[in-house]
Amino acid sequence: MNRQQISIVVQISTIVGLCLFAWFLIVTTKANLAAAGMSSGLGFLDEKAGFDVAFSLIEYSGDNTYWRVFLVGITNTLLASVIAIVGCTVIGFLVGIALLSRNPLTAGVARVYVETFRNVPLLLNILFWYFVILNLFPRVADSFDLFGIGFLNQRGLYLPLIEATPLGRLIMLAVVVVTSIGVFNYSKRQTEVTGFGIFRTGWIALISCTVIALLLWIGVIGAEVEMPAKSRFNITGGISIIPELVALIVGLSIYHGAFVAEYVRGGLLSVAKGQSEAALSTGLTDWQSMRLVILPQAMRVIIPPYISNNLNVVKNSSLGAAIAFPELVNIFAGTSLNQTGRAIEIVLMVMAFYFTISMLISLVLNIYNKKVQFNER
Amino acid sequence: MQSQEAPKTNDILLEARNLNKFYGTFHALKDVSMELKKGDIKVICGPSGSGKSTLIRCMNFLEIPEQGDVIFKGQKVEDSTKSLRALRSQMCMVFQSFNLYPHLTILENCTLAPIWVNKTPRKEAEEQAMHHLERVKIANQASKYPNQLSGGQQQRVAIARGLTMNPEVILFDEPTSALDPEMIKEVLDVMISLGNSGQSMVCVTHEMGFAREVADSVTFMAEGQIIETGNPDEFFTNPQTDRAKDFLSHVL
Amino acid sequence: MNGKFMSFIRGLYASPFSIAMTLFWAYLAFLTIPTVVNWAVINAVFVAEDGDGCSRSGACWAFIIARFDDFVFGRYPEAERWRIIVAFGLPLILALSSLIMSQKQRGKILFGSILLFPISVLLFMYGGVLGMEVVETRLWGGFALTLVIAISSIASALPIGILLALGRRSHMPVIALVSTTFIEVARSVPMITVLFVASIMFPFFVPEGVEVDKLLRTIIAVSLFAGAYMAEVIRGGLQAVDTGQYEASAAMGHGYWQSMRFIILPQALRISIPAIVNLFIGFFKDTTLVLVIGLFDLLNMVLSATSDPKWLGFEVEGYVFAAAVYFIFCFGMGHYSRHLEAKQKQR
Ligand SMILES: Nc1ncnc2c1ncn2[C@@H]1O[C@H](COP(=O)(O)OP(=O)(O)O)[C@@H](O)[C@H]1O
Ligand SMILES: [Mg+2]
Repeated sequence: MNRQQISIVVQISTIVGLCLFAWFLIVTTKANLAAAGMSSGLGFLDEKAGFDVAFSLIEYSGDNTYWRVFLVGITNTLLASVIAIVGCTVIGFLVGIALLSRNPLTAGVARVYVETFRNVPLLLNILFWYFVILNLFPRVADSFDLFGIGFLNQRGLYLPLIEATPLGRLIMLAVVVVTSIGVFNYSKRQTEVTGFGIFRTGWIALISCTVIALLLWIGVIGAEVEMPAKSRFNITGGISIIPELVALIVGLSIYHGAFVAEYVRGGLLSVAKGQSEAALSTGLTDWQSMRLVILPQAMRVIIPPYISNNLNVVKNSSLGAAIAFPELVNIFAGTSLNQTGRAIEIVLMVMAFYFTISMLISLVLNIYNKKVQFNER
Repeated sequence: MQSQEAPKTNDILLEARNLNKFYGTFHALKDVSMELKKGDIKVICGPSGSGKSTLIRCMNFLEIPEQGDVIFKGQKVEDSTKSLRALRSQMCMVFQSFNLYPHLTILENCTLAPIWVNKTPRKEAEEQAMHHLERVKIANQASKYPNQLSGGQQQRVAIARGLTMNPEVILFDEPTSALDPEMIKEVLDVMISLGNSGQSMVCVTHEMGFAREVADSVTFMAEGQIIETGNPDEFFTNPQTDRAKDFLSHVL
Repeated sequence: MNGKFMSFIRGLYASPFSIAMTLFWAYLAFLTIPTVVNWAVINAVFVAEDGDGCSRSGACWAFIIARFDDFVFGRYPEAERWRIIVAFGLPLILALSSLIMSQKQRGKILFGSILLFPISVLLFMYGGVLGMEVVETRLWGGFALTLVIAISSIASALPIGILLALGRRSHMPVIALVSTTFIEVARSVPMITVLFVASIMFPFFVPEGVEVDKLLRTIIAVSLFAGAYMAEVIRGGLQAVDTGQYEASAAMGHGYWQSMRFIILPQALRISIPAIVNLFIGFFKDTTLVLVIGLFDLLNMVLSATSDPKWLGFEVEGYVFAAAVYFIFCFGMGHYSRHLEAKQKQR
């Protein structure tokens, strides 16, 4: 047989083998489901879920369907992930730079931080924040009063809910449009003048964050505010940030921050020493040479592992299930699965969600790599 | 599966017939033909990128030509495991970058293929390997690892490794280009003594001294084509084409 | 040495900002170190009958000491615990004996000890042979269980990973597609979902009456999951092997499997060792997730001990102890992997 023939035979037998395997799985699963008197399919998604979840960004009550539970899980997973990504980025860059500090104490503390949290399981980290630190907080009856605008207790952090009126929304929109145009033009001009691409992207992120914060504040001009109120056993009104969310975010940020710090350190070290000396010799200050010369070059090394780190954050947010934070795995692969018994459908849906996220993140990574390659030519 | 019988010209060992090789749209070999008789020593030279490596890599099917045939001992070479094994176990190749196996000792480098390809008993394989290592004057280093040897020594081991398969033909792809000048001679000496012992070889090399001393013919390639072929003395003193003249004036 | 010390000191006051940082850390140390030392050492209680014997102002290490054996062996019957030591000891002795062997044999012996591990665990920890009674896996626990899961999974992930990596690089489109799909799907989902598949979905997939032990199911699932990560590590190693090696082995007449076995894989695996160690560290930490499906690994044992009525209220000690164990092992292995990497770079 020549190589092509062998190759065809091998491939066909692989396909046949996989089909047989799938067929076996389907047949046995069907038999098992029939024996247990269960049906299959996604019909259950239209059924009423009948349980409450502790925290949701979107409207949800026990009267909603399992499909809605799926969406609540996804939004909560994404919420926790996004905040944790911001958290671990901030921590990671600060600690990463600190690792290379010329002050030995700063470098030492940063090193201890990185080694400690990289080498201790994330689950332990999260459980610690949830069960130990939370215990130190007061009960509902003895809630901390936060200057009259909110409360802090074992059940979480209660803050005023700010709901924009139509006028407030209009103002927000206008400000967003105007500032974005302004920021864009400014940074474009800056890029033309200085030629530093990173200058643009780095500051756009920073400025837009500030702008969003400002907007929230400006939005209050035309907004209705609902203050949380304390009764004997409970706190009503306002928005509550549940401790599960806080523990999850803190644990994820600290753990992944340690990894990001190492990527940042590696990236900074990859920039030749001559570069910073050259920059300093032209009269740039320490901070300027870091910002304009070192970081932009280091970014090429930092960004690829940083992007995969963010995928890991999304995946690891599933550990929220262990402290009953209502993210996807907890309320869908947990509660919903227990109630409906639809193990196969539910686990596959959950996996499909993570797979989609992963593909999106790899797409971003590929685009970035292409861009870098292009710029290097 | 089936090998067509090529017309028998009894003493032609290896023949390339109208080879064409493409890398994507790039035409790397353009209708190249060449034949090697038993005991022949052929030298191929030409500017970098002219397709010399591609040609000799096609001859042992490291690259598979899109068109044309390679005929070895009257059998057309096919892209099948059996045909390739038959071809490669009787033909060996020496690379510019040695390509010794860094994780194996010199002796193991030389016994791996005899044991596993030819199924020679280990003991016998080791004896033969030592014999070939002696031929290239490196038997005393047999238990060392490749990275403990100099470039010239490594290349001699690579030649010995090839010899262990008792090849009908040895293909050399610029065996001395990666070597320091003082090491070139030790490798060339080995090649010359091989040539004098009647070994058939195809050598891509720019070592004119070697070509003059042992080569039966010199082939000059450029841009994927054979431009001219002649006996060494004629070629070096009086090349027929401008291309070759130009090339020689740069090399010599 | 002296120069190093001097530059350390100089770093403390190199610039105004540096001085500010030095003062800040000094102040922070002044605030925290005495508190921590008081709690962990000075006011700590090391020997006590139960929680009442511990003070609230210091750590109750007596709790850890009292339950230490359970943290190591889980709920395995006390009279049989020697079997765990034997099960781990045999492969360990074999592995250690490789240290006195030549470089060449060392790899083979280490490989052998990894293969021996599951066999020895099955024979001694599970029992049912040589007059040893069977100890059901639901009684397994503690650090022993953590190691059983982590080591068996990574050990079986190795062959799976090699096959997947070769598959992904295959010239046969179907093979490459199947391998790549498996690798990418497995790498994109959280491990917790894989544990759910093993514990909840798996029973649907097998004919009625067939029962597979939950621990075994978990190990198989984690092995396949880890195999996908292993494949990417080994693929990196394969890519790092010089193309000349592929060519030389082909030119010498070796077929695909021969050149993989004797020439390419030995080199690729050696290159991958640091990354494999790092992978192991990752999975060693991730074994903690098995508490979600009700297995009693080290962390779960410690957590359940904190609700022991005799020792109530010592969560912090429990977490600190568990964290310390994981830290020591992961930090040690991480150091080793960096050492190997540095050694490889030198070559
Ligand atoms: N694997 C390959 N892919 C694409 N182009 C190649 C490849 N190998 C060789 N080439 C091209 O084919 C031409 C001939 O290469 P080669 O035979 O190596 O030249 P020589 O050995 O004479 O220097 C060169 O232009 C080279 O760029
Ligand atoms: Mg060449």
